[in-house]
Amino acid sequence: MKKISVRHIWINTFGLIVKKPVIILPFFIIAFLEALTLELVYFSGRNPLAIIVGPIVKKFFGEGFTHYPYCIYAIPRVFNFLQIVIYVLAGTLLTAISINIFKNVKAGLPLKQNALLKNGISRYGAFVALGIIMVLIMLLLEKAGGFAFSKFTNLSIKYLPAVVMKIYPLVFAALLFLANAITQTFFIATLPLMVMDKKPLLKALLQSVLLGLRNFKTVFILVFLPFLLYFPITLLKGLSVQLAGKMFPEIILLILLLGVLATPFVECFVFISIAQFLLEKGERKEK
Amino acid sequence: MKKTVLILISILVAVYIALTLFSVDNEYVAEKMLYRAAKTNEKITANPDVVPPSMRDFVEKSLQKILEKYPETDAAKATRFALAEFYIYNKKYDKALPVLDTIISAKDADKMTLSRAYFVKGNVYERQNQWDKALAEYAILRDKYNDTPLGMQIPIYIGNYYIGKGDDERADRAFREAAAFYDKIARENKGKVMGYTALSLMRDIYIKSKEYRRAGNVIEEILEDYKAEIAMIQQLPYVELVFEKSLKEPEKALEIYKFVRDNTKNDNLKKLLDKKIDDMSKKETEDGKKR
Repeated sequence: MKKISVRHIWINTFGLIVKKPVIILPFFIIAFLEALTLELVYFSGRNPLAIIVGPIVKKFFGEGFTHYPYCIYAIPRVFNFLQIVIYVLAGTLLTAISINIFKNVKAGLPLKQNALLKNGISRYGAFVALGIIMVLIMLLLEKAGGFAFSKFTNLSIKYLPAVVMKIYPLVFAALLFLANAITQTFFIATLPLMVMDKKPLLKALLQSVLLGLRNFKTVFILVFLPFLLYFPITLLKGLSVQLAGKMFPEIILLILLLGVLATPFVECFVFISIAQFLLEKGERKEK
Repeated sequence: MKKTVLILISILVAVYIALTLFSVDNEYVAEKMLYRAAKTNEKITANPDVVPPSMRDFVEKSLQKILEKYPETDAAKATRFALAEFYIYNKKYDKALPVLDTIISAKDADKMTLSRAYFVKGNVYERQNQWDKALAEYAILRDKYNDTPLGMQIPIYIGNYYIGKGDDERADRAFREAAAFYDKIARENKGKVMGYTALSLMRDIYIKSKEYRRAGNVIEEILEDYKAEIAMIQQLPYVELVFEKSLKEPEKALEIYKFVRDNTKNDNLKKLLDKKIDDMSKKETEDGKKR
């Protein structure tokens, strides 16, 4: 059987998103929620929001972080936590709705807002559970990355020349980014499988891992290349404190906003590509 | 679709505008202005010869604006020091002094702020070669704020000033006065952190003026009165310097090392001291045989 071409999937996905832009709408809603949260976090450093948020920030970050510019430096950590909450509580549901729209468009079914919402909410618990599992996996990966970084750094200082040490953090960030993409390769299809094939969570998870193993190259490319758009943003996030010191503290916000703005396009393209891939795979099997 | 996206964007813009309008926080605005002025000042101090005058004007005007518009904020307190230091750096001493006087005369000023203000004021006089006036400010600092870090250290600072000027006689007198000052504080605050700090500074003065016997006595007093581990550890280098190297009394040093070893719970320190005691004991035996 002839292999499914990545180029073909991308052309189809892009064409479909352009033809039916409503597919991307749920991702815009996620971006909207994140941007709104970012606004609230930004303004929480001053009154009247500071009256409520100030004591919490003082308790978790210390007195210094209630003052300018340190209140801006605390934003990435607070926002990162809130992004996780948004992802678990709304992100998975809205992504599922987007995949459902894709499925209906492909099947030539009408797009009824209420039906789509009802469909998604009926499996809300499973979507939240998937969100929690994905967050735990990513946190584990982050911890493992941090541990590996400290171990390798100790070795590198001993054996690597000074010039290499200068680009070492960049290389390590790239490796972590790659590890993230590889992990996603095994889990990315869970949600499309849950929505399109109505599979239960654990079965969908297992099948997603198997799909990643059997079609590693295709799924990896489908995930990794669009995700590359995130790489400069990830690097900027890592350097944001230094940039803030050299330029102005609010640059931290702009970098976070850049990440929020890129999300709907990248995430939508990746998920719909995977859904398209699953669809084409299914069609070939039927033939 | 387009309508929904436009509504979402409109909500974001509306929330931003509303929060900008309703977030009236003088403290925040003052802190932001102070930060920007401090950043610009950093650039000036990094390259003082090539910066345009407009940068200096920006710093001065920004700091003055904070004091005019937000005088009640906490940021204004920091701003006064920033402005005084800005003037001092730019050698505008006549402008720095009134700012420092404002800090000193403020009713709500705490001891740390006041001690710093007196020190900076003394410094301004010092830079203008008006040592008598500087000394008057430092005397206030010493007499009224001796429970602050600056007030505590000022007697040594005065002694060091005379050393810097090559005036050994006045330096000796200043250090003697300083030792008496610390001795008084140590007696009044026995067993307290302040008492420990005073004894430590007294020990440093005696070492500096090569009065090792007196320095040794202070070390013994510290070990007797302050049995906290950190206090004992901090004395060890001085025990070596004073008893072993200067007074040539290794048996006294040995006695102190044994005392610390027996009173510490720190295993690493115990091991270290055991080795030191062993080495010293062996050396003492060898020296005895030679004799």
